[in-house]
Amino acid sequence: MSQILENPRGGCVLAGINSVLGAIDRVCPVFHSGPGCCMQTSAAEQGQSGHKNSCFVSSVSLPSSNMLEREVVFGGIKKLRTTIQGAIDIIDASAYFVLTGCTAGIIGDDIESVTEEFRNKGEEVYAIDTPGFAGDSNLGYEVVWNTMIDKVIEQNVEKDDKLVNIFGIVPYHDPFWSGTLEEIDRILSLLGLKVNTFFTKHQGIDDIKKCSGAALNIIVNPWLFKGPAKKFEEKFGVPSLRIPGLFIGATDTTEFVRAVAKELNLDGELVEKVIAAEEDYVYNYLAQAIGVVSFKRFAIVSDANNAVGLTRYLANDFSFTPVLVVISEPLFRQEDKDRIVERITDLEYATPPKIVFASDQYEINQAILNEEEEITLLIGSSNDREVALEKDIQFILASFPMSERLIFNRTYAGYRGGLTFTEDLYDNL
Amino acid sequence: MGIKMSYKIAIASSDEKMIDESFGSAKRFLIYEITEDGYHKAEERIVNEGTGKQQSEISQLQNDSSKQGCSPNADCGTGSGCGTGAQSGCGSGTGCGSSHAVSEKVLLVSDCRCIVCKKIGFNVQKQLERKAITSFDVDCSIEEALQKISFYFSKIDKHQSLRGFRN
Repeated sequence: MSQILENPRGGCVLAGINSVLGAIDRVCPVFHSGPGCCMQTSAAEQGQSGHKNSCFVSSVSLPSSNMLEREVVFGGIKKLRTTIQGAIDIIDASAYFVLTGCTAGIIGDDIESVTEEFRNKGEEVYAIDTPGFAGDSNLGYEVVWNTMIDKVIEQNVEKDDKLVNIFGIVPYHDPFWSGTLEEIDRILSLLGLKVNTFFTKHQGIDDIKKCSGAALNIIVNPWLFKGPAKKFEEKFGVPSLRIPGLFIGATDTTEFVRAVAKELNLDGELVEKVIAAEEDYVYNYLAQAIGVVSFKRFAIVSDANNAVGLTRYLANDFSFTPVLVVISEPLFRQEDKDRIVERITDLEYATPPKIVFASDQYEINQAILNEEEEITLLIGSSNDREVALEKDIQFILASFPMSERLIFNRTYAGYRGGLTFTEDLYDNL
Repeated sequence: MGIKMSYKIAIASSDEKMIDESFGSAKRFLIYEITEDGYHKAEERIVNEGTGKQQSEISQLQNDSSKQGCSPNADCGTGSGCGTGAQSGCGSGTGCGSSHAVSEKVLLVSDCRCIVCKKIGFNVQKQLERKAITSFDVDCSIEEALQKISFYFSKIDKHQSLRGFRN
């Protein structure tokens, strides 16, 4: 991992942790870091995610101990203690999480014992001792959940066989996160399930504490959340169902619904009724605009989750030809890559696309420019607009980082998301 | 093997045990010399309350050091100019009347690598920063401060990692 990346997508672990915590209602991160980390980590994730920012605290409003040379030489614990107390006095949050920047991580300040002091006084203050340099923002998502599993989620919660937890959609790192979670919530609610999305519906720390009572963890991601899922099952006995990639459009979403129904032994009649109604909703609209979108040969540059969903929707449901898929997030386990490749190449009738794992912008651009087969549509991030202009082909901005769109509840996931994506396919001609 | 590491640290203390005085109110600075073998008290510098004599002593000191051709002290000349600038700007404000004495104090310790005191104002801190003098405002014993600072500087000077520094 000693490579240099041009235009890395996302930030450090701290950035990931910050944006995940920022999406949980009334949770306040407290930075034990140098001055600048609050703003930079917010800019790296929330600032590039469809102009949506955490509105409780984010960026310059985050409390920080602002470590300088004095804190390095004499230790920053004293200053951290006053910073936490200040945050408790001023910000009315239901929980505080102390995060470590690189400086604190290197010198090894003992933030665990400081947070314990506050917990002994009855305040909800937890430590996340993972310094910024430990990895990227995807790791931040896992780190937050590992901390929740270790310190926050309660044991011996009464089991609820209709309750499910959704994991794998990373707030802000996926610009469509809130809309996606809402669509998943909507579909599963139709099946009579209660859904913990944790980041929508003003769900907060209390919902997280009780989530061990769930019947199933649903991981909507081809690779993320492996460690936490295992830990969750070992500690709370909640099994996991991995959906290897986002489901976009009717075909994959129906497959998702059936997978969840099978895992939870849901009433088959109800499930089929829901599927029929939802598919009717989708196809009724599609039937009203047959042939408005012309045939395309497409390439995708995206994180694995969206890449799987978009490729499968366009190839299976829309009969477009997949040419090239670039997975732009750094992946380290071969099994993860295999799972992604399997999902993208297992298409109904289309010839599987070429798949490239590249995070470096130069490599990504080269992969697209040097592709021998014709490409007429590129779906990617703001970083990839340039190469689309160079090739003079249609471009859809649909992955992180996304700086030229405003995204509230828009999503491409699920039944309705498929329709939204089709609309965008037309808009960007 | 090359240069011997040795530098001075100025400490504001009334009892030579605890760091109990702020930079502004300190009447004297204890100067400790840190060598590779350890540290010892080298001298005491008394702050004269802004008399003409004090001024001349300081300029003498400056001349002496510029003769030695020591570059950080050569900066001192411009530093004093800078000091007067800040002092005239600050003198007109309220409660800042002592800024004249403060910039003299900065000159008094300008051959030190760092200043340790209980409290230090932002303005003075900036003046020291311009001369590449580190300032620490801490509340602990002299012994603790010297140990921690000398350990820190030795790591920095030898380009060693600070990993696990606090453990």
